[in-house]
Amino acid sequence: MYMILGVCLHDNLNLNCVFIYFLINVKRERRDKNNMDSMKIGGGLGIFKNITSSKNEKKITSNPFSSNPFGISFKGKVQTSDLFVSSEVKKTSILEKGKMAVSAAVASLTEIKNVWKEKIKPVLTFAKQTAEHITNLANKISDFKVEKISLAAFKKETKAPPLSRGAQKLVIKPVSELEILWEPAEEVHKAAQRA
Amino acid sequence: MFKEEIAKIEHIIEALGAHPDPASVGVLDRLGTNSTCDDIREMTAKALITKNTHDSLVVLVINKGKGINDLSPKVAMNAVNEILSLDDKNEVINILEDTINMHSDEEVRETARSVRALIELS
Repeated sequence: MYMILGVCLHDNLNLNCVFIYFLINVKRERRDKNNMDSMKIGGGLGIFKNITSSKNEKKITSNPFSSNPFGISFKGKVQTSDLFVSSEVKKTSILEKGKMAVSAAVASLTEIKNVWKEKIKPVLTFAKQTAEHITNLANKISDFKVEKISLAAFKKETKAPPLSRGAQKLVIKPVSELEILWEPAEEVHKAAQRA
Repeated sequence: MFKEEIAKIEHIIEALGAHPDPASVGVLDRLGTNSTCDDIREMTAKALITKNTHDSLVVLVINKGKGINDLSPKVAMNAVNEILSLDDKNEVINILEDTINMHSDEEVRETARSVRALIELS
């Protein structure tokens, strides 16, 4: 069982912490008691522990990342972890583990769903726009009508080619007179060709 | 005293082609299309096509040896070119179709068919 208590600032800090620690953790008391007994009998390993604790004290206090900023020590040994944290490992049951797993799974699924929605949103908007464009195009094609364009507007007004000077003088004469003029003119033309 | 200047045949043919009198077609048919000179026949065909009347076009389409059926290839091709350059081809198309359907001479019908096809392609 974990119990976290506020560290009280007192002049005799070490004694207060020892008292609280003694109340909470029974196992540690027993161990310490054994150590104390070993020290009384002839020392035993307890002597070496006391010697090493002083060394550890110097080493550990220099560590700036220690969670024991006030340098709380117990039997010469400076504590490296939070004093009010139990050394016992909490044993979680299978049911609790299952509950935790299920809650984690649910949370992850909701997160996945939200992420998926955000990612698919631009794709959906693009698809909607494309569909709208296609429908508009289909409507335009259906409304398109083929109209016959008459070429009469582009037809140029043709006029009779202008007559030469000689023809202008002859066109005013009657056809009979032109018929009379034909033969000599033909003779002249043939003579010119022979030449 | 002064010698009368002889009118040039080109001017006479041109004047007959532009003459409003329908009798001009007869003069061109009798004197122009029957001339021994290729140039005169060529100018006569051009004058008759320029007139663009039923009587003037018939002379060049249905008569063997005249117009598009002329013995001279140069004269015949010139007549065909003049027909194709006409703006209003309705009259000549009617005459060609009648010629294709009703003319007795096979060569004349064949020539008319060819000219009709050329008009459609142009």
